[in-house]
Amino acid sequence: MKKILITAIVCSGLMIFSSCNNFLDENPKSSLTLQDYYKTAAQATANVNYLYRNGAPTQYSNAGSAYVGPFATLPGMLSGYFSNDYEGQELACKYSRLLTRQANTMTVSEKVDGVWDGCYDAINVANGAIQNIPNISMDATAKATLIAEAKFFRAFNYFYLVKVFGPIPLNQTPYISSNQDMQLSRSAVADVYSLIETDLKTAVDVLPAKSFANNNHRITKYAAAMLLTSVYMQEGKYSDATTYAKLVVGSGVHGLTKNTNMTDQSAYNKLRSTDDLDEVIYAQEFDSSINSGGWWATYAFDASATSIFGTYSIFQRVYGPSNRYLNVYTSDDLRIQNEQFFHWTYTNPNTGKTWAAAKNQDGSYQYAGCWYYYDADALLSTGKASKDWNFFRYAEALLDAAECIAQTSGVTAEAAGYLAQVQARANTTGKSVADITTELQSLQKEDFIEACWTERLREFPLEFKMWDDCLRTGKFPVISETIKGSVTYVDLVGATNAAGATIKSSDLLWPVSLNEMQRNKKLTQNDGYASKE
Amino acid sequence: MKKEEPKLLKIMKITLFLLSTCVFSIFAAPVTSQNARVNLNSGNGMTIGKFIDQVEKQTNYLFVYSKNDVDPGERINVKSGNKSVAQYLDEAFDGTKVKYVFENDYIVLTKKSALTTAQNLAKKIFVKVVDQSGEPVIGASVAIKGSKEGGITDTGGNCYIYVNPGAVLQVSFIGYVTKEIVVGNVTSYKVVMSEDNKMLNEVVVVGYGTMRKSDVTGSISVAKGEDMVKAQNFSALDNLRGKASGVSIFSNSGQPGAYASRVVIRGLATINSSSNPLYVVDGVVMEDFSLVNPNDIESMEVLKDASATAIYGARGANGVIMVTTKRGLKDAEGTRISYQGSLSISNIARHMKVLNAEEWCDAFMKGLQNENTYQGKSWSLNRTDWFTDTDYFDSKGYPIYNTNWQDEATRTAFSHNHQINIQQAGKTSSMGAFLNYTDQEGIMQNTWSKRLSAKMAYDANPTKWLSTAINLMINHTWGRYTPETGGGQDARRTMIEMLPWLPLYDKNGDYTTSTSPTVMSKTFGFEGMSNPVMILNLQKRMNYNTQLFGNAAFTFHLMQGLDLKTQMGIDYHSKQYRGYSSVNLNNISMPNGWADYANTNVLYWQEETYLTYDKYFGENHLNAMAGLSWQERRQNYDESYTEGFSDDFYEDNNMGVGTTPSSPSSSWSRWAMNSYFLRFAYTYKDRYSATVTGRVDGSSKFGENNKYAFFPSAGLAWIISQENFMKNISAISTLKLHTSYGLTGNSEINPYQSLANVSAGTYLLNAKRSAYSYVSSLANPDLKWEKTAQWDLGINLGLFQNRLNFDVSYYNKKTTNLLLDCPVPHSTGFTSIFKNIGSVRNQGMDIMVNAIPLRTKDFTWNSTLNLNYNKNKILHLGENDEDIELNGWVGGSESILRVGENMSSFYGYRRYGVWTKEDYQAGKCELNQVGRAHRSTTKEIIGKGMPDWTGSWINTLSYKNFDLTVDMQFVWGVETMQQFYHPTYDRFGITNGLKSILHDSYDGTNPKAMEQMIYLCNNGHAGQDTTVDSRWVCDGSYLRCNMLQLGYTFDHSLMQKFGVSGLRLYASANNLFLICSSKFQGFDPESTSQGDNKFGQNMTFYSYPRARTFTFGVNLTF
Repeated sequence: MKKILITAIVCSGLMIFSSCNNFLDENPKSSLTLQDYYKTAAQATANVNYLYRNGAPTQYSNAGSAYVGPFATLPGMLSGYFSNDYEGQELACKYSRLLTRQANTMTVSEKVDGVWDGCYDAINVANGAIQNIPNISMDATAKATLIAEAKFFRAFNYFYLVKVFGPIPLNQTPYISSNQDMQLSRSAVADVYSLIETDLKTAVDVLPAKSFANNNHRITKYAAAMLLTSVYMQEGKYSDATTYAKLVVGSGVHGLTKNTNMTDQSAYNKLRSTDDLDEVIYAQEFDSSINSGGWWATYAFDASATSIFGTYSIFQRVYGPSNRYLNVYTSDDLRIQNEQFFHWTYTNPNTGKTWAAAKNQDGSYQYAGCWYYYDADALLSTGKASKDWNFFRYAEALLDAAECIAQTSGVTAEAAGYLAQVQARANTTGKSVADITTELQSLQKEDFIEACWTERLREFPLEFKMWDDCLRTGKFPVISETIKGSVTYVDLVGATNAAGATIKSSDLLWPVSLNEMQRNKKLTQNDGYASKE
Repeated sequence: MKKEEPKLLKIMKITLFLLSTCVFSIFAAPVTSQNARVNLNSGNGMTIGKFIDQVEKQTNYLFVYSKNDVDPGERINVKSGNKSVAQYLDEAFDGTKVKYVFENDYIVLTKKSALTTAQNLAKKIFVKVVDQSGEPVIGASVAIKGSKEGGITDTGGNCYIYVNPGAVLQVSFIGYVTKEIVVGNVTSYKVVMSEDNKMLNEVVVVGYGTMRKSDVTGSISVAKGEDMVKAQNFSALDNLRGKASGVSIFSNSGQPGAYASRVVIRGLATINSSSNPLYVVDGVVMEDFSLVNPNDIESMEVLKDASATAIYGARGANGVIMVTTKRGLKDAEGTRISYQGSLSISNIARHMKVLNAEEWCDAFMKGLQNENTYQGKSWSLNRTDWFTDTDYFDSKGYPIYNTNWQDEATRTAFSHNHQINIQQAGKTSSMGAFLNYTDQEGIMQNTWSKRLSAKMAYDANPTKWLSTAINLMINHTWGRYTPETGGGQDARRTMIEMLPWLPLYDKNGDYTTSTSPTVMSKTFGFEGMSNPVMILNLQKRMNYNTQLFGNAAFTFHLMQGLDLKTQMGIDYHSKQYRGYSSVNLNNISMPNGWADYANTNVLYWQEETYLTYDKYFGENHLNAMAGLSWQERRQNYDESYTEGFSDDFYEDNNMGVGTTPSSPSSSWSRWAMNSYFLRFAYTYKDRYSATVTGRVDGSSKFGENNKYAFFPSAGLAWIISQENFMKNISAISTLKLHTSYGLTGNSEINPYQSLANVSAGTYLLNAKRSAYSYVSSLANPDLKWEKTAQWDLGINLGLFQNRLNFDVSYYNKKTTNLLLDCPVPHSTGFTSIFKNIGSVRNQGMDIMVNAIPLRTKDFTWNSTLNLNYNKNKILHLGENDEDIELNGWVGGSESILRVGENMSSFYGYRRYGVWTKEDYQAGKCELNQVGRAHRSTTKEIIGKGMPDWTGSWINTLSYKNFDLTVDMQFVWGVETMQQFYHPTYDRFGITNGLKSILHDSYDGTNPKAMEQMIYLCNNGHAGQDTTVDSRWVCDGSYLRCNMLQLGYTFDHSLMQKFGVSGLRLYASANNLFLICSSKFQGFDPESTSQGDNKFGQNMTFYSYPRARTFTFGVNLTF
């Protein structure tokens, strides 16, 4: 009896042993691993798709917080012209405006982590795509296009980083395991720009000559050319910039949005409310079901707007211009009229409830609301912002071209014509493009260039372009406290910003994150900032 | 001549001295003689008291008596004269209820046997209890087996008891082996008790079997089910709190059933792996142990050191909790049916002190004034310019309503618990069936948890060579809860922050929200919020958990001492979460609402087969075990979520109507382990023990190159009190030294972490959902086991027949190869790689002191002190010992892992005070900085959330039929971070705030104030600077009266008339009081808003308020 039993047990034990060869293997079913990746065209596409909604673009377009805008709002605050109403909690905004980031490196450093991490994450994905997609067997055109898109995004991310941090670690090899050298030193700015230029030239060469909207909302030749123009301008290479700016201006697929009327159907209201306009060269898509625009719509008001909408419960003016900034406009400029780029009073059409900006004792408004962020659908019914965020529009191409031509060849009719197109659209006194072109041609080169700069302040007040211009020109726009439309330019370093603080050379860059310096011993800190906790 | 005291008194004296507690006083007494003559002057007025007085004056005898037995005022008859003490005593007490006994130099007075309850069938028998040297054993319990009835031996070791013939008497006394006698025809019995040779026969559960406690070389603490279930908590983990030394239990939630308590044994020793102990229930590993029915638990054994835990190898590093559940009757044939029921009433134990309506307005006005003075504003200081909403304010600007939102959101909660045990045993089999229904209401409206559980155990010995055991448990728990994690506008937050001058409903009968005061919200811009009652009513979050757990085992008795056991166990969980949030909930789910379903299915199985050999060879005792194990766990998860409801009709019952569904999600994972283990325990002469264990574990989770790892341990024990040279030291009953060293592992990471994973999903591209994917983790084929080397040194000391016991152990645990999300430079595109790098040390002491300071016939006091001291230190992290920052919130990271520091460190700025007028005058700050926080510019470590000391002091007192339990619990050397200071101080104006805003903040006259001047946070106002700083942190130590319970057990004889063999009634209070820092302003310093994040202990944004609970219960045995 017992023998039989023991034999049975031993046998069954052995059976269990022998049947378990693969028992400890890992075969995940709900995620792929690297060995099965970069095998198909679909994977290649999905990989490049990742870049559309991560990294540098989100630094402009991501309204993830009710209390603070995307990172791109912060450099604007360095000018002192813009502030966040909630800066008591969002201290990095306050330190930016008061130019006291250096003494508060730790607080600011936590803020820039988001930029650094997001951009390098995208760069690594782009590096992976650029390295691996060539080995996938797929349609050659599609393959080249995807690689060119990846290069566009790699350049976009590096460009953003170099503007924020100056010299940065530069790497083109994807990281896949821990054996690779991760301790990279900061590369010279010129080397970073060199890679950016190369990548973007490829992108311009390869990508389709279509509008963004007609190219399945994927990066086009003109989006790449716009970015490359910005890059060259940032580098002061106005001659190269001219080439690419003119490529966009002459694309034939992009043009300025026209004013249908001078009120709710003005070009500016269309840009605010309508997607896929010809003017839009590159945008971040938003919709109400898959990826909404987060809190964008709430940035259009101040906190008191909670009382007039039932769709959002928090409103903050996270990037509010000061009244002095609004003096950049002459009073007859269309863009400064109520409900163009800005507004001071608003009535909810559903309920009749009204909002108004707070007033001073003399009855004037203390500040303006940001109408450009107003999203009617989101605020009045869905609670989901769905308007796309425009990164580049044709107006910028015109202003780029106008300035670059002037910088290299003086005030030509062509340059004047481009600037005039932008000015004429905002003109409420009936002047035609030709009239204005003529006027502009009488300007001295320097005056014309300054006119271009001023026009940028007027055309993109809420699109975060100003600080890039300050950096590349080395000039700070002194907007008159009293005279509307009057702007003068002084040297950036040494200028007094609108919050009364003096701009130091160390204010031009942001600190490298203190945490990242711990992780990478080869990193050095930017001048003026603390390098240790 | 050495004066001998009665044994009992000697025990008491030393015990009490050691406990520093004074109950008795011992008189100094000179030498006396047995036949001392006494001359008393009586008269007829002599009382017992006077008599004692005079005898004590004239002799050196001292009287000892209990006032319950002897009334000193009672009159006695004695005649004056010169007589011997004995003569006088006979005279005095003859014919009274008092009898006397000489005991050395003491005269002990007791009540004559009081067993007057006539028992028709029972006969009176006499039992004399002596020890091996013939000395009477005083205070021994003589009980009728199977009942609560019995007696206690007097100072002569004597006891009378009424019993039925054939009954079995159990004679027991601490430190002696329990004896049983069967009552026959004789009426007098002498019982010779032998000293229990240092717990030689006590058995403890260890991994894969049991061992004699004396042979154990490791550190194990034991908690009994009946002690644990006293508190009637929903979760067994809450019941375990304070019952086992070295086990720290953080009951962070007062909400029933929704959030499990955190259990930490001997400190945190891991970063990215789990810190939970391994739960082994009847030999089978169980997850989600917190949901198990605590009434089914017979006992819990906590294995702490390597000698005990290494047999669980890779899963043992956090300690192992061995749970034994109830089964059929063990010691007798027959049937026992019992019922335990309780009814509880709970209320909020402590309120947060927030501004009332009028104070809110006062504080607001004060803020305006401050801004005019320091911020260059010129606000109107006329109330009527501000408080303009006539729905809520009168014409003078004073509030009409004053709502206490904490009262509105909470309730008096009623709970009940019912347990039926049916236990039976026959000759070759036994069976236990257990049913439980628990319905527990939370004190916040609409939160509750219910449990229906059934368990069945069947054990049989069908043949001589085979035993079988089956255990099956089905457990269904379901409930509704409100979230306790994160920083959103949930009810636990708005019950504090909601404006106090708003009523519950507006004039239209709708719930108020922060936008209800339409007229004012334009100027004030209140933070969007819904009132807490509205949230609790309109947001439903439901959990449904079903668990099937069981095992079947065959034990083959191959030969004497050699058994082969094979056991298959399963643990199946089906967990469903269903949620719906209303379209009307301001700042939560307005305007779209949401509905959410998530299902998780887990199937775990294990098959373990092992041989055990247990044999005595003369003075050698060998206990050996070897076995193999396979375990596998599979998990499926799926979730559907939609928004876009037009109203609340469908709730979550028709998700198809939601217009904006998210894409569905699902996942699958599996891990498996294959292990081989052995244990060899050898004891010589019951004095010297050695245990060696080894386990080889293979896990699918690790890199190709490191699947298997070996975990050895060795332990030694020496029972010194068994040595001949100790025999004469009668005070020391037990003295055991034990030490062990060994390796355990931690493999509790998610599977697939050694691989380079590709994350994939969809998002918006070209106006439709498009796929995206990217490589989201760095591969590490060398990923291997986290290892903990632990050295343990312990001592068990039992004094005075083990009436005073010390169980103390020191441990030093060093964890290396930490499974760490090791930071890499983020310029790689990754933030971390999963690597074995880093090291943590935990050192400390587990201390248990158990004492019976008092034990008389009627009165017993048992006292247990449990203490754990733990020091945690990070030794090494990452390549460069980089800081790892965690818990990012206002002001960035609020926790940090830094080499040299405790793992639970809080991270923030230091608050020096506020900038004062004087600072401004001295040019140290701008005018508009006056009243703002003066902080350091860099962050530092500002506290820690895990205590140095945790402990409990549990006292059980019984007097006659009454019993009283006083259960105190404390932590010391810990801080708590009051994250709610951020809104309740720094965002005042758009929310409500703490009362102290009005009284403690800087106002220009109190330069030492720590609290910022009131600057309003409303639209257009100056606002406050807010960031994480040391002001948020206060001492988190506390002393809690965990439970106070008074019970009454009815006499067996009385109850028999009703066909009941046992009945106990009790009333108890849980969380009766809490003593903590006066700077703590929340509900309970032990709480967290970080969920099960192991670095979030005592970081609380807002917590669910803790309840004070009163319970009435009955335990009935048929």
